[in-house]
Amino acid sequence: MRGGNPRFLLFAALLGGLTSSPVRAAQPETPAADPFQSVSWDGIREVTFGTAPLRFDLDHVRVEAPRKVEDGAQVPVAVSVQGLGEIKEIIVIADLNPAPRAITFRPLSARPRLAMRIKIEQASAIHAAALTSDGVWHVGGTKVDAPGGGCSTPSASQSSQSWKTHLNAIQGKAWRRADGGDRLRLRLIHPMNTGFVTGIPAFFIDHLKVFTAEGKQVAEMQPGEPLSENPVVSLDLTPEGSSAKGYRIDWSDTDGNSGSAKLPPAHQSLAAEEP
Amino acid sequence: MLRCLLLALIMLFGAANMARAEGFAYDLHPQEVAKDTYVLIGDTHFFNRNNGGNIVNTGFVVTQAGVVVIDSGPSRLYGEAFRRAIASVTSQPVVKVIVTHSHPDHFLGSQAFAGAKIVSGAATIEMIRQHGQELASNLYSLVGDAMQGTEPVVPELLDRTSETIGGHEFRYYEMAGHTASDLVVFDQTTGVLFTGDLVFFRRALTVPNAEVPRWLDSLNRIDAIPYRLMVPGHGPIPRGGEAVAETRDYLRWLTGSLQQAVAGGLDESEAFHIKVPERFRRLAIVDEEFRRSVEQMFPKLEETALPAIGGGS
Repeated sequence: MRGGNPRFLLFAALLGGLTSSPVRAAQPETPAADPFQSVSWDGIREVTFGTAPLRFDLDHVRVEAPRKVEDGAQVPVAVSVQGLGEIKEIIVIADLNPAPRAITFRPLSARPRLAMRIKIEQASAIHAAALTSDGVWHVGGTKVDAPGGGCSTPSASQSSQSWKTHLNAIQGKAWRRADGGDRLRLRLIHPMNTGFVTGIPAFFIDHLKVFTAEGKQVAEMQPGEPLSENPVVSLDLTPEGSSAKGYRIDWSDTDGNSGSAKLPPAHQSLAAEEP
Repeated sequence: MLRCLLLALIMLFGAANMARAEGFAYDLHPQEVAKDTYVLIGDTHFFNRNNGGNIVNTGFVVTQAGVVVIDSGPSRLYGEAFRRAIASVTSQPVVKVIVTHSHPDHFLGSQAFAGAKIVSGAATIEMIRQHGQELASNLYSLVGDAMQGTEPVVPELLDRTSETIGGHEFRYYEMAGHTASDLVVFDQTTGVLFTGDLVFFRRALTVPNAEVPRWLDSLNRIDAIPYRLMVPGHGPIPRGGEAVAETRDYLRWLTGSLQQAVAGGLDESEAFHIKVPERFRRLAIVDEEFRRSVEQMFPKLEETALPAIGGGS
C-alpha cells in the first residue's frame, strides 16, 4: 500500500470492526487469500458478498487495466468472463477507493464483458466478481499504480458547470459484431461526483438500463461513485439480445434526474474482435 | 581484528551512502555542435530516479554579449549543473533563458538562472502560473531526490520575433501543437534550429497537451526554415530533415489508428493492443509512450466521435 489516506484508514477500521463480528465464526471454510494482496479485500468481501461461496478464478475472470495509470480520474478497465456459462451479475471493485464499488452489471442478454473508465484514489487492486448460476462468485483482478486523487479532486465539469446545460445528453452507437450480436458504446454527460470532495455532495448516475426498440430489457447497470465523469461504457449483446430496430437507453441519478434516448440500429461492422 | 575491519567497512559504506543521500548529481557534458553553440543531450527513457528527470535536450549559444540558454531543464539541481557546464566553456554570464514550452523537463531548472531574463510565450506563462507547482510535485513523485528545492519560475513574455545578441541574429517563431505555445529558436548566424518538443528523434513523442492538426502545421513551417543543423527536444541530433519526417509519420500513424479504433467501435482497453508498426521500433520507449498516448487521447476522441442520440438542453 502506498500513502496513508486517512479516509481509507477510517474505512479499513470500520471494516475491521465488521470482520471481527460473530458472523465469521459461523462460516465453515476459511476464505482464500487475495492473490492481489489487497489490505481491504477481507472487509470488502464481508460487506459485498457476505457468506456467499466465492473463489478466485483468474483464468476465467479477467480484468484489464494499465499497470501505470496516466490520470487517476480516467482509468480504463475492461472485465471479461469466459468459460463459466451464464453470468448473473458482475461487480467491479476498486479496493482502496473511499467508496469501492465501481459498477454492478447484470448482463441479461449481453456477453459477460464490460469496458469502462473509473476513478482511482490511489494505487489499488481492482477486483471483478462474476456470479454463476450455481450461486458462486468467481473473482479475478489486477493491480494498478496511480498518481492518485481521482476521487477527491473535483470533476472537470464541476468547475466548468457545463454539465448543467448538457446533463441529459447521451452519445452512443451500435456496431455489428462478427457473431451477429451488437457492440454498444454509450457516453453520458454527468459529473459523477463522489461526495468525497469537500463541499460537493455525491451526485452520480446509479441506474442504466438497455432495452431493444421492441421493449425487451437486454442489460442493466448500477454504477457507483468510482465510475468516471461523463462515463463511457461498452457492452456486447448476444445475437438473440440484439435488435435490427435499435435500442432504448434509460438512466437515472442519485438526485432523481432521469432520461431516455433512442440508439439507432447497427449499420457498421465492429472494426475487429477483441484480441 | 576481523570485527574491527568489519566495523570499518560498515562505516565506510555508511559514509558513502550518506554522501549519496545528500543529493542527486547530474552528469552534464556540453557538446559543441556549431560555432558558439552547445547542447546537452538527455536520456531517452521516461522520467526515473536514475536520470533525475534529465530526459530533455537543452542548449546554449555563447555570444559576445552573454549566453543565451534554450530550456532550463527539469530541476533546480539540473539548472545549477547546467550553469557549471556553461562556466566550463565560457566566462560570459547567462543573459537570457528561452523556455520553449510548459512541460516540466523544460522549465523547472529556471531558478538557477536568477538574474537572466527568462522568457516564453503567453500560453506557457499561463500554464506555469496555474499548474507549475502541480507539475513540479508530480515530477518529484516520479524522480525523487533530484527535485529537492525545485520551485517553478514564471517567465516573462517574449515580446519580439527577432533580435541580435552579441553578433548572433536570433529569430523566434511561436508555433503550437505539442502544447498551446511552442517556441522555435533559430540562430541565423550559425544556422542552428532549436525545435523544442515539436520535433522528437529516435524517441517516441508525447501528447498530454497536444493538438495534432496544429502540430502537423508547425512541422510544415519548420521544414520551410533554412536551418543547417537541428536540435530536437528529445533524442540525438539528426543529420538532416529526417527527425521532422519521423515525428510527422509517427504522429499521423498514432492519431490515425486511434481515430480508426474509435470509429470502428473499439474501446480503450482494446486500443492498447494495436500493434506498433515495425518502422517505429527504433523509437526509444515506443510501447510505453503509445500506452500513455492512448490514455491521453482516447477519451477526447470518443467525445467527438460518438454521435449524440438524445437529451441535452
